[in-house]
Parts: sequence; structure tokens; C-alpha cells
Amino acid sequence: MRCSLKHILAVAMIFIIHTSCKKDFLKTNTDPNSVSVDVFDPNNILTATQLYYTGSSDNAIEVEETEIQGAGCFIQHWASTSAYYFGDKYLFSPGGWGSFFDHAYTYQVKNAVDVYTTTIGKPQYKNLHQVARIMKALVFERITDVYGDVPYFDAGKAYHESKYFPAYDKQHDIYMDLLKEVSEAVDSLDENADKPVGDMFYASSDDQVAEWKRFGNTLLLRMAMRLTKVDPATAKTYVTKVIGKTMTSNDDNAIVRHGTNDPLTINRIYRGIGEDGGIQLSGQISKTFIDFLQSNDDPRLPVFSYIYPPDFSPGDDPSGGSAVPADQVGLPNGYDGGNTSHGIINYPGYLGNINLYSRPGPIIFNATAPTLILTYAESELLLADAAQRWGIGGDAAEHYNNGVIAAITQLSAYGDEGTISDDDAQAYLAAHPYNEAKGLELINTQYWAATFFNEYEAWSNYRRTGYPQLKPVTYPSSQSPGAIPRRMAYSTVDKQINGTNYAAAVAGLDGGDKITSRMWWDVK
Amino acid sequence: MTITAYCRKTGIRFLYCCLFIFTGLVHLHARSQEKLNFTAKNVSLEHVFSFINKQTDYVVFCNYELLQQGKPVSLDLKNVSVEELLEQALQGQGLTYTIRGKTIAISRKEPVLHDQRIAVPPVVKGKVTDKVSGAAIAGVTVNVRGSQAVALTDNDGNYTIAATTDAVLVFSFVGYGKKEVAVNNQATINVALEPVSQQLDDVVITALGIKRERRAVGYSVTEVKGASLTEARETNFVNSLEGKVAGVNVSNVATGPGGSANVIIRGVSDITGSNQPLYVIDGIPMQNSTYRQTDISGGYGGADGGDGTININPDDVETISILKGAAATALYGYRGSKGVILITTKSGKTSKGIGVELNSNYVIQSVIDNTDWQKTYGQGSAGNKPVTGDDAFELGLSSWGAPLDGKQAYQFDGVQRPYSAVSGNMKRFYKNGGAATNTLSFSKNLGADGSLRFSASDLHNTSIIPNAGYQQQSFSLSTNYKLDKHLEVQLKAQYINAYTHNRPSVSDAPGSVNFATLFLPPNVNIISLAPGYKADGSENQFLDDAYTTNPYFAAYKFINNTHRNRFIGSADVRYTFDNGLYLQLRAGEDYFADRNTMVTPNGTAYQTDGAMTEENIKSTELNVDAIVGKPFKINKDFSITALVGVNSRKAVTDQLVATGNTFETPYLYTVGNLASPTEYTSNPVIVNKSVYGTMDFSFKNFLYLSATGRNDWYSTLAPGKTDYFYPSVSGSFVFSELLHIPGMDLGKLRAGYANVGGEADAPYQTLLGYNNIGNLFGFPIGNISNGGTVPNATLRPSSVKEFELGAELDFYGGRLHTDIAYYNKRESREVIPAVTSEASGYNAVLLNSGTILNKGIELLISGMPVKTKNFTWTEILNVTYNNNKVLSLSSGSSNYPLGYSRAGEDEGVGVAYMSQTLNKSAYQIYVADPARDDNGKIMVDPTTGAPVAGTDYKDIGSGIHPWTTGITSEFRYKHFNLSFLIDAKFGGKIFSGTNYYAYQFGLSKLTLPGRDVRYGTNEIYPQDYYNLISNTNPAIFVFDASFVKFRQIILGYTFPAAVFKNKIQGITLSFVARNIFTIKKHTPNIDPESNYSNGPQGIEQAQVPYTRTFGLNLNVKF
Repeated sequence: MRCSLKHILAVAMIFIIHTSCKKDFLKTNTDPNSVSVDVFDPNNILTATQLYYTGSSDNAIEVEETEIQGAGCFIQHWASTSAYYFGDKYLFSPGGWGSFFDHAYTYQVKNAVDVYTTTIGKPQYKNLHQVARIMKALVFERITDVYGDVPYFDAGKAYHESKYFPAYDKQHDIYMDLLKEVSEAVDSLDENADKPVGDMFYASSDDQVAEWKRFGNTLLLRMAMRLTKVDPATAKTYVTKVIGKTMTSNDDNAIVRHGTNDPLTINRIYRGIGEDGGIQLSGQISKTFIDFLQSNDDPRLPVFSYIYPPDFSPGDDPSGGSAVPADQVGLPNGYDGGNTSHGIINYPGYLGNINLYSRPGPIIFNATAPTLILTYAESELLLADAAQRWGIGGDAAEHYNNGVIAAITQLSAYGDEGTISDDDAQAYLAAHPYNEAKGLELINTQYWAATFFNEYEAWSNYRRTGYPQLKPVTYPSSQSPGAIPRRMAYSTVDKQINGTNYAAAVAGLDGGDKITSRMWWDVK
Repeated sequence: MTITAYCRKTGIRFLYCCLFIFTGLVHLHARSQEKLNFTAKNVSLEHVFSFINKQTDYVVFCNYELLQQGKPVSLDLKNVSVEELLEQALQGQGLTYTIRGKTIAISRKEPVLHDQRIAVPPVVKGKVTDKVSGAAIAGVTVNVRGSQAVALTDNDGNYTIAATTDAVLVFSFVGYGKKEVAVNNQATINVALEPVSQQLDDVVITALGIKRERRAVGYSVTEVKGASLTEARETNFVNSLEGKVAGVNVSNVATGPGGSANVIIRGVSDITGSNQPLYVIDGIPMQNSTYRQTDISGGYGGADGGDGTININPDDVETISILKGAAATALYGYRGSKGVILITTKSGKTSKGIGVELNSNYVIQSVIDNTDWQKTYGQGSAGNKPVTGDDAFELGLSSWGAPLDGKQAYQFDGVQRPYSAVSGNMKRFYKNGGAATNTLSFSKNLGADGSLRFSASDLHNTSIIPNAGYQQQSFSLSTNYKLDKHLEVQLKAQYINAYTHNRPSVSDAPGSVNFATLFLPPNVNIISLAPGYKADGSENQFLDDAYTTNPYFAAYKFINNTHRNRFIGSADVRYTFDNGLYLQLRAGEDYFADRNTMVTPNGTAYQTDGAMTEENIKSTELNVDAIVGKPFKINKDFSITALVGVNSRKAVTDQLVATGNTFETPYLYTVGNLASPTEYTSNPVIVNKSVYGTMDFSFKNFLYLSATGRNDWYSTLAPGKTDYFYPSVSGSFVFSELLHIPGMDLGKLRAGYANVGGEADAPYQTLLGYNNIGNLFGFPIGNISNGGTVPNATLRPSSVKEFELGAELDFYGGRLHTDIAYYNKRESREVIPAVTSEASGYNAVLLNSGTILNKGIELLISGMPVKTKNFTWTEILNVTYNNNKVLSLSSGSSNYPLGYSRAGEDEGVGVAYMSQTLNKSAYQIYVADPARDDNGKIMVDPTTGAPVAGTDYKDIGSGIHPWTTGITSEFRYKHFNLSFLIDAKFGGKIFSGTNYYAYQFGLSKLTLPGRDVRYGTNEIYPQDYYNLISNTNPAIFVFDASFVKFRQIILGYTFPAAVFKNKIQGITLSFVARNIFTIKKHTPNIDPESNYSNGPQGIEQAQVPYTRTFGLNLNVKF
């Protein structure tokens, strides 16, 4: 008995030690819910990149905060009396300024760089690699347009290159590299190579590679045109290079369609502002925008705008309200909800209830509404601008006409309810023909109308061209008194963590890290 | 060398060691308790005594001098009692023994008195009694100081000794303080010895449950009796330790019943992770998961998901042994580096026959309203009252209205009510909570064969929050049995069934019962918000902000429940060879299954269609240990006890989560009813293997040294870097054995050093992994599964190095006891997600980075100023100072933000945040700093009169108190006892979100001045002016969180057994109260202990209010 027990215990001890040696800790420490890069299809990361370009799955909080409550109000598409909408009155809002920075890198850049890096030198992913390269440029262009000098060359490389604190690169250098990268990517796309299956923009089109070439060239056009003020020579070079190779119709529009999964696949603006089936009652359409659409008899007005029933609560059936153009009333920018001289209740003609003002209508503002990434309308209006400005790339009026029509008919992406007939579009164009004397203003005001819900782009084009002519608001404690802000200030998070590089970037910024400071391409 | 080879080699090395122990044995045959076998040749008396110590419940005490004089014995005894063994062993030694309780005292047999050949000195006689009970004490050693003369008291406590008239008699007995009395011509000297208080117990429980003599231990160990936690009890027993133990910082987590507890031992040593100690229950490491904490990192708060300690019923706890330093905890490896709390549950060993015990505790919890809001102005804006119901609805929580005039004014529901202050909304909303705990236990002592104890307990705790509470039923079984002379089996099992009903959300307003309740305008009665929902079940909003939830709706319609089933069981088999060598095999498992149901109901203003998360979590930790140990006697002065063990640990969590929003059929809250539920699983597995050993050396009775070594293999570390060895050494020098210091009973110096290495907290962090997290129109959505943290294929273990020095001094027969400790603890190479710039694509990279140093002093003084038969007065003071400093973070980073306050949260960035900062102590509070001119003066915007907003943050100080102290006073008069505890913490700061919002809403008294003026050249309204200040200069909401609290009082009466004709052994009825009042604080409107996180400390906002508890405790022993 004693002997056998002794043996049992001794054996038990040996067993415990022995299993510790035999045990394959590597296997134990491999997550059963994931696979390694060797077996994973990088196309799925391209899908993620395209989806996250429309906003993060972190409740699309940066779309809510920086894009709609910030840029969308700067550019007077949106208005609100709520203090959350810092852009309405250019309020102090470090969180709102930086939210896009914080999310763009961790969702868009991270995935774009990953799919780009993991497909390097893999012939089976030749086109996927180039598509990723273009996506990466698309992502970075928007970030630098919002902030100016930003981490670029070392950004998104924490895993692949162990770069944890990337420096902020000069916007000039970023733009030169973006132009080079997209040019090379377009040139490297190969009709005989792979068709990236994770590509939500064009996987279902007949000629995916050709679509990507047009997309790349249109992106080059947009990037080049951004430099009209600061470096017209480079701008002209690249515009000339892509003439005839850009998008040719609304069929070329890059679109992300959305699903019902909140917050993963849902429409980001709806997630951010409407949130979970309801509409956050504090966001309205700006009086500036409604007045423009109304006074010009714009057929887009009933698609964009809606007066919800006065007792509408979030989640209710919106029917019973009005999409009738004449009923629409925009909310003036620059007012708050208090009872002071800036209080909306003291605004002459106040309707007595904030709910009586127009808000984005259910056609464009719902969970599964698509996001338009880059469109033929933008492309044509940019070409019109180039033609008007420099006389290159054809006839400004023709491009203007194409752009105006496309910007109206592209709303068919929102389904039948959003579809506006060609006749109505033509009628609108006939009523607002091109006028060379006011060419740039006409073109870029139309660009503004064409980029509702693409607020960063509308704002960037405004800063580039000064159109449409907006009346800035005044408000006590405004951070940009009497002037439309020129940029978002950097992320406070990165300021704390990446302090040295942040400080170097701010040192190069005339006027400091303020929303009034101008970035490289935004010279006066 | 491959790991496997290295492992194998190490294993074999230890095996050789084991074999060596097997063969190098003296032949002793042993038995315990009544019947012993003892066969030995030429062994020392000490050997015999240590045999008795090991094999029986008796502890033998013997003066070392006597032991040294003892002659070797050779015995061959079978089936003898302890008494027989002792008689045989002491034969011819001139020694005798006395048994009292479980202690055996060895003393000289014949006093010199009987030697008639020597001139007979005068004889002194007397009686020795217990000073407290008055009972005679048998076996007390009476010694004439400086001579060999010794006498022992007889069964009636009488002694006789020859002593010269100028002699000094020394009375000593185990469990009592030594007493010296000068003869001074007295013929009769009666002496009353004082029992030594509990802290002076001579045996302490150390790592792995090893009992060691207190004098031999080279590090700080504090024991707390379970009985001290059962009267004035807390739902989570850990909270009752607050203020009681030096070096142990327990702080309130204000999240209501079912919430977690926060214990930090010897300072914050983990930069990012949990700083909670390891809890070990009956030798089995216990899970103390806090898998869903309140969220300081996002500032939103949320609900506290509870922890593991809440399931422990203090009625089942015999003792709690707190091992603070690394030298004490080295045998637990890294997991012990934040301290170990050893819980020993009760067994039936102490019961007489069948013992039945009932403990009933009923307490009422009432809310403490710390708010002191202004009552001059009512709801409104710019000095105006609401003019319509709609207006009142839009104004919401704004208290910037007109002076309260008592006339009618509209409120949100369109009803006009008097425009006058209705104070006391908190007391109106929060009910009196209550807790009833009943524990019934049965135990039986089986004498020499073992014992058994079973208990059943029911806890029913209703929260002060309506429709919330905590319930728990627990069952505990403890058995130990000696199957034969070698083999002893121990089985312990606990089953717990717990239900947390509606965990409250803290901090942020959505779904919160606390937020709106705190900030209602002075003229709004919270009753008008009831019942919180409309006829159709949807939220009855009382203001135009969907995210500020009606508190009644939050209380009655939101669901956040946890059902927990938990089983903790262990089996322990110990085989003791006749020669003292023992082998022990122990396996224990702590398993719990939680089901969390969280529902945002239909009709919630901010989420009309509702949302739901259902979680099933099964978590298990299995530990298997095998230990072999043996004492060795090298010579009469020098002995060694050696122990070698192996441990295998496997921790598996199996989590299945289904979540989604929009209920297809409204008000039907099931996952199947969700429009598009998402499901995901996570299955972290961690495996550790360890080999450990310890050698305890003792030299005579004054010098002790312990060395331990532990080799760990961690599955979570980088391949090839999983294997590490860590040593510790500690020693004790009992100088009072060498120096005679008058009045000193024990004088001991101790020192310890340990190096412990650690693993990563979570698995799967060495490789990058990919998965898909959904599908959009046939496109799988790829995902980098490591989240925001870059994995690291070169992870090494972290390192904790701790040095400690201490002294214990006992005086005047236990009347005065002091224990002082100094420690220096450095954790470095911590495996942390070192924060990275988000521009890198990731938030963090897992690195061996980060060093944090804790230095501190712990002092314990307990004294008994008065001690008579009927009255005793005891004071116990503990003081701790901990100096904490972050010495390094990841390279390139001097700041590690832990999370923003929700206060002033604007798009994810608040006006305050918590951070770990280089060269500062842990948990620094930063607040937004206004723009300053070159002289550092705050710049004022002339248009508003308020400071200009800056973009920098200013460091205000740490949220952790460096000083903690507590003083317990105990009085006992006959059958009455009274004790109270005052505790205090000093030096920490707190950022108050509550005060921030009260300022913005115009509720704070600070907003009273200048209500009828305009500010700046733009003549802005006071509401805008104060609003600007709150955001531009939030430093005004940071307060000194120091406090002194009258924490606890117990007044009890014990009915003597005689009252019940001895049919009942005793009844104790106590009045108990906790958190009685705050003596000193510096935090307006909030309790200074208002943290809502069991992680970072120093930010508060709208947590569950503090409660005062009072009630009765009844203890009946049959």
C-alpha cells in the first residue's frame, strides 16, 4: 500500500513536470478564433478598408463628430443649436477636431497599409496590391486635407515596421508622393492579373481593372486640382496626364452599399447622427443650403430634405411629415438653445420648435443608404474648373453640364425614391446654364451641392476655391471669429502620446495648432 | 538548447533532488493525535518534539536551554498516546511536560527546592491566574531570574519555589505575556497573566498554507480573523478590510451591490493592468475576474460587472492571512507579486461534539446625500422661468432661471407647480436598502480521525436603487479524514448561486439612475418623473436630451442582470512516511458560469428599437500541485526543512456573446427577437507549469533563513522564452533571545528579498492573427484580430524585485505590540500594451516596458492600556506611507493616458484625464489648462470675461492616497464589548465630474454670484460665462480627496451559557454600523471615496451614492 502510493505520487509529480515540457506552448498560445497571414485572404482586408473609409465601426463616432458636427457645419450643409455641433459656431472642441485623426489611422490606414504590405511581391495579388495602393492614397489624401501636415511615410506601420511614433510629414511631400503612388498604381494595373474579389466598389463590374484605372485617374485629377492655389504647375501636369482617362458616367461612381448590422455595416452618417433607428433631433440642414436649393428650384431638395412630423420621436415612422420643397425651412447657423441674444428663440422668425426645421430626409438618411466615395459629377466639375482656369482638357461648359446632370442623377444610387429623371435634371441645367464670367463660382457651387454627405470634400473644395460664398457666423468664444475654419486642430490624444513629433509639426504651422491656421495647399 | 530539452533537464534535476530526500532518511514511525508510533535511535529531544508538532495538533514549546541539555533518546513505541511518548522521551532528562489546550510546555521536573543539601532559601508560594477570565493556569513556568531554579504551577495554578528575598520571579506560559515580579520579602505572590492578543499568535499561515512560527518568518504577514468580518459586514467582504491592515489600501468602488472591490497592496505596481492581489482559498488560487469593469478609459462608465471575491461568505472564513511582499509570495510566482490574500475556511476541528452555529445579520442601508446645491434659483435660462411646458422640457437640467418665488411655473409635463425649492430628491428616489444574511453551520470534530463542517448561507441585499439588488446562496463543505496512519484526505467544496439584479450604470447619463437624480433643478420634484414610462411602455422623457435617461425608466425598464453558478472544490491527499517525509497531492478547481443579460429596452429615447447583449461565460481555473517535504536535523542547533513542489495551472475562459439591436417584436427581450444579432466567441487559454522549492534553515531559536526558488513556464510568452527561474531569500533574527531587555517579550528583525518574473496577462499576444467579423453583400469583412495592440513575438517575462526590512517588538506580556516594515518594490519590464501614436495604426504595442517603483513604510502598533478582569481597552493603530513613482514607460513616451473623464466630454476628449506619467506617482489627474500668457497668467477673453480655452493639460496630482491609516478601539466590560474604527487617507486628489456638471447646470453654490449681471464686452449671460469657465479652467473641480471617517462601530452583548442552562453555548447580540459619518473631507457635494472604477483612481461622476449601514447581528452557538 505504502509503496504503491509512493509510486503514484512520484509518478504524478513526474507527469506534471513532464507535461510542462511536452506541452506545445506555441499551440496553446495561438488563438483558435484567428488564422495567420499565410492562410488569410487579404481581399477581406480590402473590403474592410473600403467599408471603414466610410467610417469606423466605433459607432462611426468620427463621422458624427468631425465630419457632420464639424466640417458639415463649417460648410453650412448642416446646422444645429446643440453645443455638440462645434462646427456650427466654430466652438472649442479638441475632441471633435481630433476624432477623425484618431479613427482614420486605426481603421483606414491600418487596414490599407496591411493589405498593401501583405500583397507585396505576390503575383496572385498583383492587382489587389495596386488597388490597395490607390485606396491608401485615397485615405491619406483626406486625412491631410483635414489637418495639413500629418504622419504619412511612417504611418500605419506599427506592426509591419515597428514604427510606433511616426513623424508628421509635410503636406507638400505627402501630396507629391500621393500623386506618384497613384500614377504608378494606375500604370501597374494589369488586365491579365487577378480580379480583387474583396473590392466592393467594382468587383461586380464588367471590367474591374478598367474601372480602377478610371478611379485612379479621377483621384489624381482631384489631388492635382487641390494644388491650384499653391502649385498650379504640378496641378496642370497631372490634370493633363489624366485627361480622357477619368470617369465617364455615373456607372463609374465608387459606391459602398451598407447593411443592417450596427455598427459594423450600417451607413456611417446614419449611425453617427441618426443612431440606432432614431434621429438625433439636434442636427438640421443649414438655412444656407436649403435656401440655395429652394431658390434654385433644385429637384434634389425633396430627396435631401424633409420636415419630420412635429411630434416625431427617434424611431417613429417618419411618414406624415413633408418633403414638399416649399415647406422646407433651413436652420440658420450660429444659434444656440439658450435664451440669450444668440439663442434660437430670439432669432427673428423662429418657428417656435426646433423640430419644425428641415432635416436630412429618409431617402438618403437611413441605415442602408449607400455612401458615395468618388463620383463622375465631381470629376466633371473638376475638369470644368481646370478648363475654365487654364483652358486645358476641353470645354468648361461641357464638363459643367455633365457634372450638373450627373450630380442630380447620381441620386438614383439611393433607390427609386432618390431617382430624378433626366428631364428634370436637364430642366434644372437649362435654368442654370454655364456662364463663363462666373464660371468658377458656378462650377464650385455645384460641387458643393454635389458633395452633400461628403462633407470633408465639400469643405476642402471650398477652401481651395472660396466657393460657394458663405457668410461665416459670429459667436462669443468662437475659435474662428467671423471666418470659416481652415483646418481641424490635431488630435489631443496624439499630442499627448506623440508629443515630440506633434510639436515639430505645430512649429511648422503658421499660427499654431488652430482651426484658423492654413495648410500648405490652402495659401491665401 | 531547445526549451523541451531544458525543461526536461530541469525536471530531472528536481527529481534527483526528490530521490535524495527519499533515501536520506532517519527511521521514524509516526502517528498523530491519540495513537502514535515512534521508532528512533539516538535522536534529539527536539526531533521528538518536532515530530509531535508535525503529526499532531499539539504544539510543543520548550526553552532552548532545556533542549540543549536534553540527552538523545532511543525509543521504539507503538500505539502510544502523546502523553506516553512524552513520558518515555523525557525519562531521565529531568524534564516534565504540561498540556494545556493544544500546547505542550516542557519544563524542568524537580525544582531546586527539594535539594535538602543546600541551604534552603525562603519559600515563595502563590497562584497564577488568567487576568481576563480569572481561571487558574496550570503549567506556568516560574523561574528565578539568573538562576536555574524553576517551578511549575499545578492544576490549580499553585506553585512553590525557593527564592531569596531580593530575587525576581519570572512567570511565563505559552499564550500569555511574560511577567516579572520582585520577591521583596513577600511569602505569597499571586500573579495574573495576561493572554496575548490575537496578533501575537505564535503561528502564522504562509504561502502554500504552510504554518510557521511567527518568529521564524522573514517578511510581513498580517492575519485577520474571519470573525472580525462577520458582524459589521459588507456584501463584498473585502471592503470590510478597509483601514484595518497596514500596507493594504482598500477603496470603495461606488457601483452598488454586486460591484467589485478594490485592494491595492504595497502600491500600484502595474502600469496598465489590474493591481488586485491574488486570492487563494484553502490553497487553491481563486478567480477574481473583473471581466467587465466600469470603463474609465472611455469615460462612459457603464456598469460594474462584479468580481470573484463577492462570492466568499465571511461566515465560512477562519482566518485571512495577508502576504504583502514578494518574499512572502514568491512561491506563488508572478501572480503573487501584487500580494496574496490567503483565505482559510473553517473546519470542524474546534467544535465540541456536534456544533451548530447560526449567524444572522440584518442591516439597513440608507443613502448619504453629500450634495449641497443652491436653492435660490429654479429651472430656466438667462434668469427666466420656463414659460411653457415645452420650454421646460427643452431647458431640462438648466437651473439658470429666475429666483425661486413660490409662484406657479411650468414644468416639463406641462403642469404648473410652485416655483420653490423641493430639496431631498436623492432621499426621495433612493430607498432604504437592506441586507439580510443568515448562515447556519454544522460541524463535528471526529477527534483523531478528522472533522467535518457544513454551512449554508443566504444573503439578500436590496439596493438603495429601486428594483436592484444582490442575492446569494452559498453552501460550503469541509472535511478532513485520516484514513490510516499515513494517509490523510481533505476535501473542500463550495457552491455559490448568485444573482445580481440590475447593475447600475455610473458616470454617464444614458441609462443612468444616478445622473438626472443628482442634477434636477431645485424646483423639480423627482416624483414628477415617476413612473418613468408612458402608457405604451416607452420612456417618459423629462428633457430634450435623449441621452439623459429618466431615472425611473432606467431603474425599472433597463435590465442588467448576472446569474452566476460557481463551484470551488479541492481535494488534498497527504501521505506521511514514518520518517516525517510527506508527499502531498492537491487539485483544485474554481469554476463559474455567468450569464449576463443586458437590455436597453424598447422605447428608450436614445435607442427606440432597443438593444440587447446576452453573454455566457464559463471560466475555470484548475491547479494541480504535488509537494514533497521533510524536516532535517543537522545537529542540535541547526535544522532544515525542505520542500519541493510542482504546479500545473490551466485557466480557460469560454465566452459566447450575442448582441444586437432592434427587437422585431417590441418589448420581447430575447436574442432571437433581435433584427440582426451578432455572435462572437472568445476562448483564452493560459497554461503555466512550475517547479518550486523552499529550504527553511533554523539555528537555535533565534536565527532563521528561508530560501525559495521557482521555475515557471508560461504559455503566454514568446516561443523559446517561456521558461524562467526566480529566487527569494528571507531571514529573521530574534535578538530578544540573546539580549535581555526588560519588558520585552519578543524582539525580532527580519529582512527579505525576492525576484519574481511574470507572464503576459492575456494569451494570443505573440502573433498577428486575422479573422472575419461579418459579411456585407457577400464580401467577408476581414479583421486583424489582435485589436488595437501590436503583437510581440519576443515577449519576455516581467520582473518584480522587492526588498523588505522589518521589526517586530512585543512588550509587557503582549500589552504592547509593534510591527514596522520598510519595502522597496520595483516592477520592471512589465508586459504592457505600451501606448503608441494612433498614427501608427495601432493604439499600443505589447512591450516589455515600464518600470514602477513603490517604497513604503508600514507601521502597526497595538496596545492594551487597561486590562483588568472585567475591563479591557485595546487600541490598534496602523499607518502606511507608500511612495510610488513611474520610472519608465515605453520608449518615446512620457505619458500613458488611461482614459478621459466623461465630464465635459466633447467627442471623446474630456476636460480631465488619468495618466501614468514619467517620474510621477501612478494615476495622475490631468485637467485642461486655460491659455496662459508668457508669465503663466491665465488669459481672459475680454468679450466673455472668461478664461481663453487652452489646448494643454495640467497635471494636478495622483488619485491614489500615499497615506492610509486606521485606528481601532476596543472596549470590553464583562459581557459587553464595544469597538469602533476610524480610518483616514491623505494626499490623493479627485476630479469631480459631479461638481463640473453642477456648475454647468447652475446647481452649484459657486454659480450664485453675479446671476443678474452680464460678462465681458459681449455681455454674455452668467450661464454662458460659468459654462465657459467650467470647460476652460476645470482645475476648480479637482479636490483634495483626503478624509477621516468614522467607519465602523460594534456594540455587543454576550449572553453567558449559564443563562441558557448551558443548552446554548452562547448568544452574542450586536448593534453594528458602518460608514457612520465623515469627520473630515474637502470634497464639496461628493463623498471623497467616490471612485467608480476598481482600476484607476481619481475620477468620479454620478456613481451610486455612498450608504450608511446599521443593523443587528445575532450569533448563536448551540
